[in-house]
Amino acid sequence: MPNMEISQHPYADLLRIEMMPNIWCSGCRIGRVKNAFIEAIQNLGHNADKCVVVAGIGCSSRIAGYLNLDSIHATHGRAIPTALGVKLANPELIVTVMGGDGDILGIGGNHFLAMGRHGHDMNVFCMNNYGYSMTGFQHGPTTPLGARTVTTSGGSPYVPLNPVAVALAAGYTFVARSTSSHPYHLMDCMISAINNRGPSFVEILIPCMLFERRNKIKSLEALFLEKANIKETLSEEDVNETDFSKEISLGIFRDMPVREKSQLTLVKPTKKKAAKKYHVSFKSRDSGIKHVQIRMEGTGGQGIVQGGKTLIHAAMNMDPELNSTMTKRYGPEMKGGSCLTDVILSSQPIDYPFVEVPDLLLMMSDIVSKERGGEVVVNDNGTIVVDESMVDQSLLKDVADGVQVFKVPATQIARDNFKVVVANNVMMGFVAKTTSIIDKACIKAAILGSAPPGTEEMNLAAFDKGYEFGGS
Amino acid sequence: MTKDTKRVLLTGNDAVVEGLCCAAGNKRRIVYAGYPITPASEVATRASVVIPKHGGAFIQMEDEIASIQAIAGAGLTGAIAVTATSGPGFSLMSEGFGFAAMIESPVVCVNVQRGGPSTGMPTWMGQGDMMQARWGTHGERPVIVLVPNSVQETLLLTYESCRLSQEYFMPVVLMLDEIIGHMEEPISIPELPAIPLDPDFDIIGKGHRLHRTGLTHDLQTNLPRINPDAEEELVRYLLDKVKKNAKKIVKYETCGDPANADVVIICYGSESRSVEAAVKQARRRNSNVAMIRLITAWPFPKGFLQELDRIDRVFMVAEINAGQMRVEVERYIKKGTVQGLNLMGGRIHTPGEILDAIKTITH
Ligand code: SF4
Repeated sequence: MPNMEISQHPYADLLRIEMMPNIWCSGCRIGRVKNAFIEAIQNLGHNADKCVVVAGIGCSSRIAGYLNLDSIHATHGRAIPTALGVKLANPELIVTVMGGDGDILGIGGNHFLAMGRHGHDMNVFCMNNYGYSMTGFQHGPTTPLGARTVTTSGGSPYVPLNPVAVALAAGYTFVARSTSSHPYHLMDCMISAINNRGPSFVEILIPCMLFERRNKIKSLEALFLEKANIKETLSEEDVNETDFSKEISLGIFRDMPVREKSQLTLVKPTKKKAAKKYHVSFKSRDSGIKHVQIRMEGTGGQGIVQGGKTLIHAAMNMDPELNSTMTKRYGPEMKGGSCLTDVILSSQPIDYPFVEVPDLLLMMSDIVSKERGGEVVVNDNGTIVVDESMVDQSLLKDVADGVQVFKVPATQIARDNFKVVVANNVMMGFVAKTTSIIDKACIKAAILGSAPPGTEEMNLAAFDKGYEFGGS
Repeated sequence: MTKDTKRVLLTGNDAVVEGLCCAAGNKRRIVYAGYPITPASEVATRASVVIPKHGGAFIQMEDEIASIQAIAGAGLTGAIAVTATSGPGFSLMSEGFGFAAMIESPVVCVNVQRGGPSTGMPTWMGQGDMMQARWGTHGERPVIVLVPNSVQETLLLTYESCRLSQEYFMPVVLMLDEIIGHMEEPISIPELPAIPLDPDFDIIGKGHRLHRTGLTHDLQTNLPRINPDAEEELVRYLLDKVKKNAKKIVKYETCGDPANADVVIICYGSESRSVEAAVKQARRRNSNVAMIRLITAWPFPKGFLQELDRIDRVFMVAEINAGQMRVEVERYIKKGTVQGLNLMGGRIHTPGEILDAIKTITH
């Protein structure tokens, strides 16, 4: 071959000449994989400006630095999610992840699984050399059973992971296997992988010379050449590869179109009611409220937080200029634990957002006060509204004389007429009637605003029942 | 804020998403990648509906490590790149922060703090991640951490976090806590200019053939260059982004007159709402007390504190941890006496408790 300027090299446009010489050991086969990738891109005729390579950590991940493409050399195992971020930011790009078995299948295994599910049009080209090379030849996720490595000196006791089997199970739409010793086959696999519109995976068997030497393993390249069999069609048995006594099947295991969204058969069919439009009109006004603290308390699942939301939205309906806060306290369980919500309405900016002593206390159950040792905290001139079907009345015997106590069997009414879940709105109706803090129409409009479609009628009726119970 | 803004009731977690929409306007693509965690999950819930409608991408990732990495990739590709999490997820993101800082990807992470350590109290507030936000990465990286104390401010500081990340090409952390994340308040959605993509910032996919690496690299070429000189240049350059601009970035708010008060209370986040209530009450009773509320925890307003440190008086740091920011205050207050007012988490002090603490100092 005549002497050639480096710029005349057929790969010159796609190599970062300034990064040469590369760090790979002389005779390392990663360079062949890099060349196969360059040829794949050249053959596809894609605009290299739109091709991005993302790699993690390891010998093979260094490819990202040698390709003259937009490239990211990310943290160990995290090439796939980093690449996904690139793809989401600019879906036009052709995004390829390259790395080794330890990086992609070991530390990055969860991302490898998730990529199949996410279904984005990206490629993962994984060089499997059966262990960790850069860190000094430890065993990895694909190390064959019984193989000696520096961390399995008595022979690996671990059953190796089969990358192709995992990729097939994880839902990759393209899955192939090749080796660094079959460069044209490898290039063809890469081309098909890039052409596939879903998540694509190519396992590239590759020897690491130092790994073999250090761990006294036979030449894998010789094994690949001896045992490999490139097949047009592959069967389930061909997925198996780790037993070097048999042939190693190379080829495309799957090349299918991106999955269509399936009909979710788990969804309960619902009768479509004619969408009735509900409307509650209300008038906003200057409420004259100076400072009111409202607490609603009860048991998780009683709609306590929803009640707080109704109150704050109702107050906002009534007087949009009012300052307000709503906070809530509940345990980690969604149902059954104690739960309370604090609503503060004020003409002034509200600093401390929790109710210290409520002016109005709505007790949907007694769990909160029982947790407090039976104490019922309310302003001496305040008002308590209790759900008498849920609250132990003896708790109320010690409240100050100035406290007004109203009782409504909200849960009972809800259970008898509607469903228990609307007890909070029975309470709201009763509160609207017995106290004069927030206008009735403003509360109804707030209930309507948050009622799930189809439940508007029941929620409003529950409110009306509570309102009726409050007397005429 | 313009006058035609309308008032809406939102939670702090909701307001984060509205802040992102303000930052993106109709010019920028938002990429939100997150993993569900209490008490930050509602950010993702809202983002999953709002962001696709806004022309952006929402994705629920397989874990928090994947989330921070995805936004690091997205930030480098020109997106407004965001994630939201809480304590355990924030811990998992530590390495990713260092990576984003190293490759200079503009990303925003929202941490809705809960009680810790470990699983701690998922549904109760905490402020125990302040030092983690500052230092929680191996090696050293520049840090900007903003701490809102209301729903309205959460929206504004989300926007500001995006702006700062895009100005300095680095990760910015927005530290909410469970109270701010979950509380509802009426706020105005302001009309703010979309944050432009710096035309000098080369992004992926535009033919620049960029290389970005977590390895120590050359500042001009961004290619690996691994030696003590390269490390010196690179790390100093990264740290200088905040160090040299700290005066511009630092934000705080005062109540009363910290220069002349007998007692100065330093606080941030939801705890500051109690402190403000207490300080106002104390001042009405002619007690000479003042508050400094940190809006940027990092960079820390050290110059301001040093100016205040002329005589011996008490600087009380009220926070819901064992005294994390107090350590920082102690670095700059030498003539004054620094003391802490601390709860370990789950709740903030009541204004009454803070008034009592003030009384024990002033009597
Ligand atoms: S250690 Fe192995 S994989 Fe790494 S460069 Fe050398 S031969 Fe290649």
